[in-house]
Amino acid sequence: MPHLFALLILSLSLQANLVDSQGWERSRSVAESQHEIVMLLIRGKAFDKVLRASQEIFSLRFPYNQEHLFVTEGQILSGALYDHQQYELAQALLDQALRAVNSNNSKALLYKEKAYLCKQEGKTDEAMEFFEKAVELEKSAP
Amino acid sequence: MECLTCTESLTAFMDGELSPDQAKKVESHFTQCTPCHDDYRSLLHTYQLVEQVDLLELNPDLWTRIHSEITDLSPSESTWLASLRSLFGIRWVPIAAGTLGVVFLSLFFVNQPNPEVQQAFLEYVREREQLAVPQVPVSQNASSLELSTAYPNPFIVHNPRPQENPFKLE
Repeated sequence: MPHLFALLILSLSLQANLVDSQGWERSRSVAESQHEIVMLLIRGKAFDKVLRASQEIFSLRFPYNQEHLFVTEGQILSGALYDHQQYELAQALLDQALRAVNSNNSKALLYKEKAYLCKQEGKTDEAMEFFEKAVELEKSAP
Repeated sequence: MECLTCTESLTAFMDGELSPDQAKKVESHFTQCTPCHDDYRSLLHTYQLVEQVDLLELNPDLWTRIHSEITDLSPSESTWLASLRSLFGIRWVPIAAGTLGVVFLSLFFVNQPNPEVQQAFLEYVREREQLAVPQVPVSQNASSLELSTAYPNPFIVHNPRPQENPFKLE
């Protein structure tokens, strides 16, 4: 009887892991497609639709160890928007990414990106403010 | 009587302000002393000249007008500046100025970014510029269905699919 109980627990945990991995794989796949949609919107200069489409990505539930993908996505999309002189939109997109991540290191990287874009735009004081925030977050990171 | 005392008392003598005794002493001195007598004569001549000058006849309203102008000016003196002056004595001025200076300087230095952070930021910008997102050139022959964009997709899994059948027995 105890063997049967242990087997049942093992089976349930394996199933939960499978469901988790399937859920993550689905989220990743959706994000992959949605990324292409956002990039097409940017290329097509449909900037008014970008934030709504990118929110679809950042509202997906990613495991903690995959959070860095949100950071990379924020950097790529904001960079693409910056290349089209959509500075405010790029900052708003990074704010979306900031709301999607939890770790201080991820937030610090995104604040650094905001600082970098501000610097490129010539807003040095604002850039320093974002960078200082990033440094503080890095210090408080475990 | 000495000459100095006589000279100093001459004006009072002329104006009739000295006692009869003092006046007699002064008069007896300058009648005998030639320099003091000369002084007396010069002063007397000046007095005579002044008496010859015609006095200006002032308009009776003039003083009333001047008085009213003075009283009109008085309230402006007792404005906020005057009340402030009465509240804080002149000795508080340097203390207040010093405090304001310290506050201003501290605000200036507080707003200055930390030089270490500033240096770190410049280094980050330099590194970030080198690590700029590589732009993949878009093929001109790409079909409309092909979703290749100029930027990499971070969500693509680069695990190559196994080519062989894993279930095949060797």
